Amino acid sequence: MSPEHLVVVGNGMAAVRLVEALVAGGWLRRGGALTVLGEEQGAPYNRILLSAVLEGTHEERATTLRDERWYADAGVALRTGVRVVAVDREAREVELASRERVAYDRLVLATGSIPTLPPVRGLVRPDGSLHPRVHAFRSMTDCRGLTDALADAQEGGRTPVRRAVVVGGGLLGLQVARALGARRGQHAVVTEVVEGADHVLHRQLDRPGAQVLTRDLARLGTTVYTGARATRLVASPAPDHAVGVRLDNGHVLATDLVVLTAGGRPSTALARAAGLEVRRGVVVDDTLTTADPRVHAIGDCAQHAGRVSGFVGPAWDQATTLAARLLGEERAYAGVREVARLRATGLDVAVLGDPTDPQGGDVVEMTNPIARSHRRLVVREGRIVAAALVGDLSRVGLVTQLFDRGTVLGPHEAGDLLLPETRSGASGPADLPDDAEVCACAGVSAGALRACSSLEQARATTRATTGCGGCAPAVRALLATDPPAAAGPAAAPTDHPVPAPTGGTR
Amino acid sequence: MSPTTDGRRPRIVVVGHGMVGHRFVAAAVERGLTETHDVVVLADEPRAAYDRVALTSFFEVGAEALSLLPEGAYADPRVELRLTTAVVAIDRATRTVTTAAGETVGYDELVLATGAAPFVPPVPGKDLDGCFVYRTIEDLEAIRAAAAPGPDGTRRRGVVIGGGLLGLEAANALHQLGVDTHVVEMAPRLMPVQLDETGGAVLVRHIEKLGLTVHCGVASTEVLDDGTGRVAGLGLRDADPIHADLVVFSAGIRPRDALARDAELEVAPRGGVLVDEQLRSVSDPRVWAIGECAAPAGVMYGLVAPGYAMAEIVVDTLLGGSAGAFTGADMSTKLKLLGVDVASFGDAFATTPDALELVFSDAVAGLYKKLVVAPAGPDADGTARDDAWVLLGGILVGDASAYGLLRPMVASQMLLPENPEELILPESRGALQLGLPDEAVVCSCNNVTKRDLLDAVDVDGEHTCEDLGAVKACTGAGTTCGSCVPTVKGIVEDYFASVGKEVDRSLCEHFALTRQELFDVVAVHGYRTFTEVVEAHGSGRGCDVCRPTVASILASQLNGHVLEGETGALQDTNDAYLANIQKNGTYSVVPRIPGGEITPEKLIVIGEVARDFGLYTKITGGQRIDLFGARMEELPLIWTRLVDAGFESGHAYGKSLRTVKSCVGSTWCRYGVQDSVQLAIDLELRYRGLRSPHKLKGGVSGCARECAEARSKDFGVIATEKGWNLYVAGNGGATPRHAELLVGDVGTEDLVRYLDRFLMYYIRTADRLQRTAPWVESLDGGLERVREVVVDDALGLGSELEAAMARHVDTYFDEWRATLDDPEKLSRFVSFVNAPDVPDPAISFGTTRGQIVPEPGAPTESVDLGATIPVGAPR
Repeated sequence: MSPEHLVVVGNGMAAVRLVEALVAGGWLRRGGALTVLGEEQGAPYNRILLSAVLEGTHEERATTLRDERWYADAGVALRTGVRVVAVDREAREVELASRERVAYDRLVLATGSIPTLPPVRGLVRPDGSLHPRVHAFRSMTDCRGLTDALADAQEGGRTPVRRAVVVGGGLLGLQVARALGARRGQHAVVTEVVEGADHVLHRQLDRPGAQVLTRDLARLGTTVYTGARATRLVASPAPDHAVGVRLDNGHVLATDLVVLTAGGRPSTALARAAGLEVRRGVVVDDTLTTADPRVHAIGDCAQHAGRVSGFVGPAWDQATTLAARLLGEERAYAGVREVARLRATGLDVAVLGDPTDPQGGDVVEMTNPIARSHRRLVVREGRIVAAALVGDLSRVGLVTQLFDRGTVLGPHEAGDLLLPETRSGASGPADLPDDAEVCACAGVSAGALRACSSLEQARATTRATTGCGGCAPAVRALLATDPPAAAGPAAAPTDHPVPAPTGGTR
Repeated sequence: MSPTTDGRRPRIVVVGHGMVGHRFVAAAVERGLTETHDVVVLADEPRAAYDRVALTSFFEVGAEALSLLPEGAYADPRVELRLTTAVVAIDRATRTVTTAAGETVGYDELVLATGAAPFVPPVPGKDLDGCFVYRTIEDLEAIRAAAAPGPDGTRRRGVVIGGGLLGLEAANALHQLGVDTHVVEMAPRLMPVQLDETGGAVLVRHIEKLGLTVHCGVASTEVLDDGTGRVAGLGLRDADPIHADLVVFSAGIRPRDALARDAELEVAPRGGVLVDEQLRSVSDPRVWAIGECAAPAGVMYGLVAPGYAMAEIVVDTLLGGSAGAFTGADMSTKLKLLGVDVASFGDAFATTPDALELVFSDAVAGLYKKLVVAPAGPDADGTARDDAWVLLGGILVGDASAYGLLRPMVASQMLLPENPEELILPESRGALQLGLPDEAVVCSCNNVTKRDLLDAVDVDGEHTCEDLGAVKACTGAGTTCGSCVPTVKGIVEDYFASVGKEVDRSLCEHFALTRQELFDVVAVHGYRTFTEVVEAHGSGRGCDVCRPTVASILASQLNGHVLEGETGALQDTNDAYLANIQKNGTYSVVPRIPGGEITPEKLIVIGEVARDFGLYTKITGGQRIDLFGARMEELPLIWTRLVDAGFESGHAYGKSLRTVKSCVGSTWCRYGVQDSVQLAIDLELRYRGLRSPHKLKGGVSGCARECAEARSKDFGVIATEKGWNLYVAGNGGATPRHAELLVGDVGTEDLVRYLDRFLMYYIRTADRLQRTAPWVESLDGGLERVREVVVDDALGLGSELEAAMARHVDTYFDEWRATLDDPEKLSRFVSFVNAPDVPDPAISFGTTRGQIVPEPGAPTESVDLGATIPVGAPR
């Protein structure tokens, strides 16, 4: 391949990964040129960590992926704060907002996605800007705006922020809600989440899983309103809060801050205007190429095999695959199965593939609201094709491995993966108190059975097991055992008149 | 209760002799009510009470086994049981009942136990020929007659209306009778009273796997008429009709309260004699009702347990007691429906406020387990208990083994363990040889996978093989070459261990000992013959498993001649003739060529012998020469020539050391760093004749290039600049394994010591026919353990193992020379015991590439030694 000038539009996580791979693979050494046109100011950053910055567990600079110096040293032309307004495929040039034109031999669109504003009246002021109490949460600028708003209020300028409403109960919404609730070194903000679907994370979890998560959020101080849409920004119903959010059920939530996290859509305007095929995203084939062989698309803006991902895993995979191809390697992007992790203090969620697909396969699941965990595997022909783990990620490594490798499991192995590895041995029939009725048919108590030395004797004297027989295993375990130490105030069998409405226990 | 005013003993009349009526009488007898009262039972059915709950088993066990009163009468003479005596009227004013025959019977107390009748929904065609209910033995007999296959053997088709508990029992009955069975349930799921949606769905999957068809959320509109008054099918609303030869209504029951209605006793709105907590009619204190015909507080109970409770309370009350009161019943149920465990107990639908559901659902394994839990209230002292939970109820489908524990937990309000998931764990599940994927083929001869093996032993599966032998018979695994048997055994035993089943590790039915235990027993007691061993520690006369094993153990320890005394008869075919039998019944002869080094003179002898006896010759993989095609009676002649030339047995036939292969080593090779040939010869001569659990092979390479392929051997030695590296537990064969380094850079003396210990430790502790690699694998700790024992002498066994090997070395003698010297042993080598000079005529040869080979057309099955050649035959 003769040396080419490659222009990357976008400077997000996919773009950085592509540039890194090209630099490492010697694109520039071979005489190629590389220009990155980023719309956001400053160095690229790890968007996944924005909620950590909000929470205060990460410094802003800790999220930087590559600083300007790295680009300079590598010989990559990095231009940030420039917006590409058009692609002229015929002339092989892109046009910037400044009317400047940049020529390319090859173009990669990595424009990501743009947040969508929910249809809430009063969010946007007549001049097009957001209401001052309303924040989007997609970029570092948004994140800074939000932290400033929280800090300003602290300094006493405005109504202090004590309450926040997060619109959107997806991964980002829950991350932001938790970040606000757990701000490092700050007073916590009471946060409420409004989700239009009937449960949170509805794209990743089924209802029981989401309910476990919702209970967990409640325990951590975050209330979730599901099946409720925010319709209008109104005056606060309470005098000590700044605004109110009216829900479609008529309820008004008093708050000081509204954060919008209700999803985004692929940024496809450039591609569409350039006449490239766009459906939900910019359509690319297995080589991540559009219909124009000189134009590629990767990351959140790309649509491969009918899917737009929105997760960093596939975006990075696309970036490295494309880089390998551009460096001359024969490699195709086969599509990866998505892996999503919720990054929020005190909440553990991992989702592999699409566990909510009703056609996915056989479901093996454990829902345990007591342990606040939900584990769901979708198994097809013995292979895990999707999984959702909430609250207990102890098996996530193993499950991910089995999922990635397509390991065929035996008939009980999927179930075994969900069950605790060891039993504490805490509970058996032996722990039943003496007055617990063991045989319902004959009305026989544990104490009466403990007094028997054999099953025959138990049958003859108490008639236990002679009815439906369902109690037989418990009866066998109880025969001639000692009562549990903590059986209550009157533990000895002899002190315990057997409750005998039927006389069947004589 | 006092006698009646006229001095007559008061009489209790019981109407109906079902399970509850019987329970009443039994309790009356047992608790002394008959001391003061006479009891008359008037029953309309022709047979005494039987176990209706177990009605499904009628086809298997018959009416006799179901009967609750097999003698047909009560032993107590004060109880009179009158069958086929229907009561048609009650006259409360005169306190009499009238029977169908017109007889009147007076009562002082009247106990109604008339039970319930199946509810037949008023659909058109419900009375057609071929419509049935499922309630009595007579119903079942009628169904059986209708379910018989058609004259051309065609299976009948049947529909059960009702997918509740009774409907599924009826479906089970039809299915047992070989009827193609459909179940139609109006509710959106099966067993709507007991199960929730997911539980019902799991049950459907189980049932459909058996070949039944389930239609839920479907209403039946009419029973279709074939035009002759017979059932042709069932019409459904908004669905295609189901063609059927018989229709069974099992859509619930209704109390049989007509007698009571006629007698103007008050009945509940939904049927049943309205009674108080003592089961006394609210209209008449002399009348009682128990079981399904009663409606305490207006509610009818369709299970036997509440009926029994009612019977006991009435007896109690009549005895003058006042404690008994019926205040409702636990409607928990556990049943096996169509082979599927189903249980439902307590608040199964989580209707209690604050109740939470803990659910384990495994569609792959067909399991559904739900626990309904709620936060525990404050304890007895009024202290609030955080994170403490109690069980309110639950649903179990597919595995209801926990029911016996869980249901009492509901009633007792005991606190749940910290992680209640443990309560719904299967009894015990371990890691089932997780290293091997399920699809891995374990037996390549018969293409048996690990999954096939697990299916065969699955305690809930259809085969439920109990031991290794059954698994082999069932799957064919290990029945051909047998090389996979230890793996099969390991998988099976791991599985049994994981399900908590006693694993029988005994050698065979004659010895309840493992090979290792048997080895120790022989060593301790110093037994010298099989008879001594079996008499002291076994039973019977032994079999082809234990006899060669004991022979091998005796040989390992005593190093006697394998054909000595009774030992000869214990041996496998090959050992029995000190040669390897081949496919056409001839034998092959392999003289030992230690280290593969041979003089031209000896080569010439082998050539001459082969030429003179017309034998096929081939160089083996173990660097020696195999002579094929020798008839049994020629073996002594051939060996006489060989022994005279200085050869000895190569033990190619034995479970013993075969060869120690070597490269040419430092003597000739430009790369060799040690004299590998010398070491190979030394080792082969040291361990020759060593009887072991399986064959043993060795190799010695003179440098790291490893030309002797030593790492594919049970023990391999590779020369280093500083000495030798010893590798152990490798093998070729069906599952090749590289030997692994046991100890590195040791001198020759240490090498031999470690090898002595290693081999003896193996011989002592391995299972029969277990080569070194699976043996090491089977040890706890694997090779690390071997190293501890052999190199570090962790068990202090070192000197003992060395001494055992020294004893072997000292007592070694050549088996073939000894055989030739002994006329008695020689006498075995004839084809026919009654015609010693006649060669076996079945043996024939062809010629390929200038040498003889077995005749292509000749039968290729192995020769049946037992039938035609009884001489010294192993059994």
